[in-house]
Amino acid sequence: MKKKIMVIDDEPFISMMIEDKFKDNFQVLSIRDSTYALDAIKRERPDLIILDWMMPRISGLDILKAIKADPGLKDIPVFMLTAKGQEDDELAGIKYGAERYITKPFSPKELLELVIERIGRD
Amino acid sequence: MYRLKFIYVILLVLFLVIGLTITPLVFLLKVSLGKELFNAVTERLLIITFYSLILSFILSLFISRKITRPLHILQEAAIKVREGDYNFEIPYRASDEFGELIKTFNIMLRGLKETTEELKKKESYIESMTDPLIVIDDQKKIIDINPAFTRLLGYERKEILGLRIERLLSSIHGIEDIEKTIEVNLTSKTGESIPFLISATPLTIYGSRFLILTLKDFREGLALREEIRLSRDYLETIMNSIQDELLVIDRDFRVIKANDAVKKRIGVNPEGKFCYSISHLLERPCIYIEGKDIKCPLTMVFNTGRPFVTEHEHKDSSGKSRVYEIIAYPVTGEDGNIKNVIEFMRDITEKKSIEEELRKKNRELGLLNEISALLSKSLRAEEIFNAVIEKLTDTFGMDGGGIFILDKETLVCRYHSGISEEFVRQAGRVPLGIDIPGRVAQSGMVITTPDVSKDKRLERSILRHSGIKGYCCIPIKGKEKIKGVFCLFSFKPHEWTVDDEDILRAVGELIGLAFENISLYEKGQTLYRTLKDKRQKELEDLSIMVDILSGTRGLDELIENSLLFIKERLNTDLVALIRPDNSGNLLLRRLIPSVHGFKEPTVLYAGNISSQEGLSIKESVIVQIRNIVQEPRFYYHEVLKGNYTSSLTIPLTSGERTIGCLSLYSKTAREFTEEEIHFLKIFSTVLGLAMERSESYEVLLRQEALSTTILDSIEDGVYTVDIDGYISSMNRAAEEIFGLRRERVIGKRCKDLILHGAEKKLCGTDECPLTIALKGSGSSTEVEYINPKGRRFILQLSSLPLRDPATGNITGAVQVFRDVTRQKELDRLKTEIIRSVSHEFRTPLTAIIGMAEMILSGDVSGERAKEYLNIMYKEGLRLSKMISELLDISRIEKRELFHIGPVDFKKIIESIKEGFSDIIEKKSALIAFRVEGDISGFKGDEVRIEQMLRNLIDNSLTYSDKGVRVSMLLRRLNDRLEITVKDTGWGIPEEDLSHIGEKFYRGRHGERTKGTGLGLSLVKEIVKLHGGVLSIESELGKGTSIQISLPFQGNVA
Repeated sequence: MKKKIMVIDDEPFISMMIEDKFKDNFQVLSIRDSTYALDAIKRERPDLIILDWMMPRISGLDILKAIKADPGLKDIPVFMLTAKGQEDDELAGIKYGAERYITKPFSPKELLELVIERIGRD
Repeated sequence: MYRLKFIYVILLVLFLVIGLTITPLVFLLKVSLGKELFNAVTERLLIITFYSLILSFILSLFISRKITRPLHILQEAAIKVREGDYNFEIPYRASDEFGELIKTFNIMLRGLKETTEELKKKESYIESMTDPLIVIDDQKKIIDINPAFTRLLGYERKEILGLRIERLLSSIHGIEDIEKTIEVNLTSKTGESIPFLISATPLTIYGSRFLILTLKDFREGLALREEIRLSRDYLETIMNSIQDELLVIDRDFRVIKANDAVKKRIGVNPEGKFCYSISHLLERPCIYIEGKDIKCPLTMVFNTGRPFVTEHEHKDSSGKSRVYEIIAYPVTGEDGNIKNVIEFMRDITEKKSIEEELRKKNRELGLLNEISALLSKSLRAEEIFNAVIEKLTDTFGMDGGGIFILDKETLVCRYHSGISEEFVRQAGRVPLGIDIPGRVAQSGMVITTPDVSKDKRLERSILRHSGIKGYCCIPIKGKEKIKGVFCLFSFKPHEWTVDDEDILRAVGELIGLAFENISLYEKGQTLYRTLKDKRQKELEDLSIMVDILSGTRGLDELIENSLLFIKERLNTDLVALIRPDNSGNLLLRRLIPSVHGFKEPTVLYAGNISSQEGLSIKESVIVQIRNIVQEPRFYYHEVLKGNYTSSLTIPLTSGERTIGCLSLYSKTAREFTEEEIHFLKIFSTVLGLAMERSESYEVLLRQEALSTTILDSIEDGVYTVDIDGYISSMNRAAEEIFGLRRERVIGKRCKDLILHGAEKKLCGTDECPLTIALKGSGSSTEVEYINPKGRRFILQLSSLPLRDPATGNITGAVQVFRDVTRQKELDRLKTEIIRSVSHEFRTPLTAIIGMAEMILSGDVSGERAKEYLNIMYKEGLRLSKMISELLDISRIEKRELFHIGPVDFKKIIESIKEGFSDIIEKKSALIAFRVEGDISGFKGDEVRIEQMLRNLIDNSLTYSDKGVRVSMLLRRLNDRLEITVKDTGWGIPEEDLSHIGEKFYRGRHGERTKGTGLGLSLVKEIVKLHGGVLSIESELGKGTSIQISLPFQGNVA
């Protein structure tokens, strides 16, 4: 049984890239509209979440806060994708409990390796 | 009452009828009837009669009772009245005659009662009277008295009534005169004669005349009267015992009282006579006599109301004058007005004559005393000698006099009175030995003459035909020699006694003494005055000098004022200030007055030329030349030589140094006095010092001005503090930063003023750069600071110690602070831009790099790879667009690539529609464009206008949800183009509104959108570029409306 990775990003090409890269090892679920993200997480219970910081309506940070505030979800590892200056974001992210910060532009290969390293393949 | 009458009548008729009928009936019956029958009838008749009689009796009883009862009541009442009881009323009420009678009786009784009470009251009044009362009839018989009469005189009423009044009174004269109150004695029952005042009141009762005599006990009045009489006698005794004459005079000047002294003197009693006729033998009051200056003591007292004391001349009966000392007192009447005047008069004629004698005796001594007093009163000859002449003239009854002072061999009339100036000119100068004064002055003898014109000794005198008759001439003797003479003259002959001559001689000696004193005094006085004037002048000069030196501001003014002062003070024609320059030439610094041909400063003499100025400066000596033309030693400028004769040069020194000289030139030959030179010496010393001081001050001022200018031109703020931290200077930049005027700051402690707004509290800490600097080392730090005007600064402070150049000691510190606010802001913006740009760049780069990597590593291939490449291409384009947008902003800011021309809005709208079609479709947005009016003539930069509108639409579409409605209205409003873009998007939070258009500012929505943060700031720049204005209205959750107003004809900024 492949592990479930959830990608939350409004940019279609990001999800597209991750889906293509991860599909051999993981089951990838992509969420484009952040409004539905939390519901999807609760429903799907992914093994790991890749979350974009900068999204319209509900930002990645808001979703992160919500995950960490929910006792049922707070153990799901979250990798944040960020395009902002590293320092500030890392600080804020660490504060709210993100495990990793992947700064854009990133290498899909490296991302895959990081995910495998964190949760394994199966 | 009618009823009663009626009953009477009925009864009467009944009786009559019965009587009249029965009697004939009996006889008739006796006749007609038989005895038996008759008897029977009679019997019957008798019975009837009997009964009718009984009936009548009963009736009459009833009737009589009806009449007798009221009568009885009336009788009882009458008895009561007789006994004097009126205080009741008969309670009988009936309507018959008795009722009426009793009613009337009651009324009468009430009247009687009232009258009686009234009488009783009056009687009690009379009884309570304390003064006796007698009523007599026209026969003067006593017909009534009151109880008081009995009480006072003992007579009982009954024993006195009917007596004639004369029996009681001592006199009845005038008793009937009702106007008068007469005084009589009444003999009491005990035989005592009591004085009474009687007044009469007539009384007429029923045609008879009476007199009511009211008596008033006069015993006390008499006693009082006696007392008054006694005191009057006493007073009179006193008055008469006074030796002084005493008069009491009324307002008509009539004597109402005179004491024996008066009577004795004038032989008659003056009482009733007029005082002026007694004292002045006049027929009218003296105040009416014209030309008589008599101060009437009476008039004075009557007028002033105050006692008056005077000496007054009266005439005795023989017409001889007597002098009286009069003391007059006012006597005030009951109404407060002065009624009389009491005059005490004492004959002081004898005393006066003795006094006169004494006065005469004392005159000699007195005169000498007075003259010596006059002479010692003052040391001013004019004053005292004129006073002496006046005194002597008065004393001897002369018409005038004069004092001749011996001046070498001539007597000069210096002081005089009573003679004309003309006569003084003729006779006022007399040679020694000539005429009377000359002879007296030579011989020292006194010459007196009763009549100059008749005195054979004086035949040759100039006075002989002058009209002068009585004359004396007396020598004025000093200690050693005769000083002059004095003369007295009269236009009438005057007899001189030996005594007079003695006095006059003594006076002459007194005057001589005084004269010598005065001469001595005057000499001293002149000397003193000269000295005083001199000192005064010096003081004035000094004070002017001080004024000049202290009141002048600059060196030029100082020199100008000083030279002007010297020129005026020493009354010289030219004053020059000359100073040596560095190469030894003599420079003409200033010339007063200006002379044509000289310009200041100019080289007057070259260093090698011999001049008096050169010598003066070199040797520091005063050089005085009487005639410069003939002076062989020195060369003179031709202008000087041609116009001036004398000169004086005085060196100007400052301490040991000679810094120049002052030259004074005079057109006429002149030698400056020692005093003038002395003055110049003082002045030149002071001037030299002042110049030096002024010069160094000016240098200082120049230096200070220079440093201030330099400091002020520095953009960095600079201020200095002294060793104690008090601010000693501050430049303009510092003023601006601190928002404080330097005048307010200098002299105050910096910690109280300057950086009080700094967030980082430095004051008092070891970190304070000034504190560090004051300890000797430099330091710098950065603070954030809000000045008093609320402006925020970031300041870079650096401080250095200030050291005394000579000693190296720290004297204070300088603080330099650079306003790095803008720089910091720029830094922040730069970072912001970089961050923002990098962020926006990273997303497209992610696509490009990540996808490239995947294609390269073979993760994707074929169609998928093509799709990837397509995305990579689009993101590449987005990246490129952002770069050009950034560049645009920077270009617009720099006004680069700006083309004004017609703007085709139709084309722009089409282009925008096309450009946003994808997004519109994606967001299901509704977008409407509307144009009102003719906007075709608008001029501007078409590309920028399109960019502006595109950005606005872009914003509306970006910051909104699906289904957003966007409208753009373009309309012409007069000479402006109004653009309104409205949307139903998210709206802008209030806190972000103020930052709208700030470069790279991305508000709350920035977190969830992709943008450059440049869109609105680009719009703003474009609006600004076209000289327009932009306003934003927005409500969170409802939408935003942006309004832009541009000048129609491209009014480009």
